[in-house]
Amino acid sequence: MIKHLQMGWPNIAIIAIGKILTASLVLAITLSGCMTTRVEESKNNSTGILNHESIVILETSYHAGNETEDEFVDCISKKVQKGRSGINVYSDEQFADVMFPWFEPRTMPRTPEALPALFERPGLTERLNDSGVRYIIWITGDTEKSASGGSLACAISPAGGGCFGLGWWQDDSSYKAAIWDIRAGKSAGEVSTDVQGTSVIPAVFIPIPLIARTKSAACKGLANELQTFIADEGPL
Amino acid sequence: MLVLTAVMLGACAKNIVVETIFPEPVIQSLPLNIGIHLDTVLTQYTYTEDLPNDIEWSFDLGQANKKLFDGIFTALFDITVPVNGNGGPDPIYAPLDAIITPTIEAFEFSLPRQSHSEQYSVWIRYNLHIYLPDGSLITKYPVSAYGQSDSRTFGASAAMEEAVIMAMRDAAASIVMGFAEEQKIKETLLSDEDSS
Repeated sequence: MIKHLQMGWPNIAIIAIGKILTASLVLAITLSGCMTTRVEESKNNSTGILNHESIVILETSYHAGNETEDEFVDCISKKVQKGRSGINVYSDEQFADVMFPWFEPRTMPRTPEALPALFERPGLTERLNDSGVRYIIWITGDTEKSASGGSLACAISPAGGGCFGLGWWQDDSSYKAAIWDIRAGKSAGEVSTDVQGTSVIPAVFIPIPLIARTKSAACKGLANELQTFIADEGPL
Repeated sequence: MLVLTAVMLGACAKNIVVETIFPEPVIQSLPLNIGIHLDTVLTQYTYTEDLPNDIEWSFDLGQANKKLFDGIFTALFDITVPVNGNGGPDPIYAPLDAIITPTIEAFEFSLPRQSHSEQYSVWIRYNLHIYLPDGSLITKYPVSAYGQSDSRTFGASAAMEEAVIMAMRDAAASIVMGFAEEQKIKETLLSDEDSS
């Protein structure tokens, strides 16, 4: 038995809107706002890491005014472990627990010169050796919206809805990683990244967001640079 | 209608019960025999604040306070003994060097919208009342602690609980770093250690 399906105007309209929405979604996912990335590195001492050694990635203290997002530190930790040059990462929370209370925001060392005196405290060197941590990576920085503009208006009525206009904003993700060699008790150097990006939402009926994911780009850039910095043994 | 209103209001309240285990501090203990008096005001401590144009927040720090001070003092002193008072003629106090009674003097918090940041913040002011075995007060040692937690990583309740835990860990750090350096404590309880 053949069942005839008659499509009226409302069904055609629904399909058309569905196609437009799908196309918008695909565009939004595949396209992104424009970004410029700058990565810098300065190396003071030779590095290198053995298979059984690891690094720990910590935010510098909020008592010192640092506002690095927890999710950024998590992102760096995950990315540094990935790939052929992946490095073992010791959990930051576990490190603060095993060293308690010497890596709390109030007590954490502010300079690499403070490390030898810190590890003279009874029990700390044993805990450090058990953890296998060779380098402490201190992350500072954050992502800020530096500018915004444009005008985007949306309206809805019983006959339908839509948006018209153009909105934009600029994000600046600026982060620095200071690498301390615990064994040597001094700074091995610094890696920094600065990603600026402009996100745009043009809208003619359907808004198409073109998002510049600056934080994600900064995470990837800094993680890759950290892998190279630590694995390459010689100074630059 | 009343029931419905009560249910709706209940849904707009946040009740934070702080449940955590504080790590054992890595420190060298002081050669002291200390009585620890954790009274019920501390071990059943709750704080409630109904913010204007916002929900009601309530905090239960009682069990966390007990774990915090038990953990710190056990690591900080050679011998600790739980006691039920602040010293006096009772012979149970005689072998002790001192009795410590911690109290909470103040608890404050702020939300991201209040601080115009992404942080939930908590301030706690503890006070350690330190007595000689006869009950006379040696000193009150104030401990101001601060903790914050990123609202972008956790939900509101979890972020606020994390901020409280960070503030309590900050209190532990402050006590561990500063206790033996406090002038009155040094003179009264640790002078023998200095001279030896």
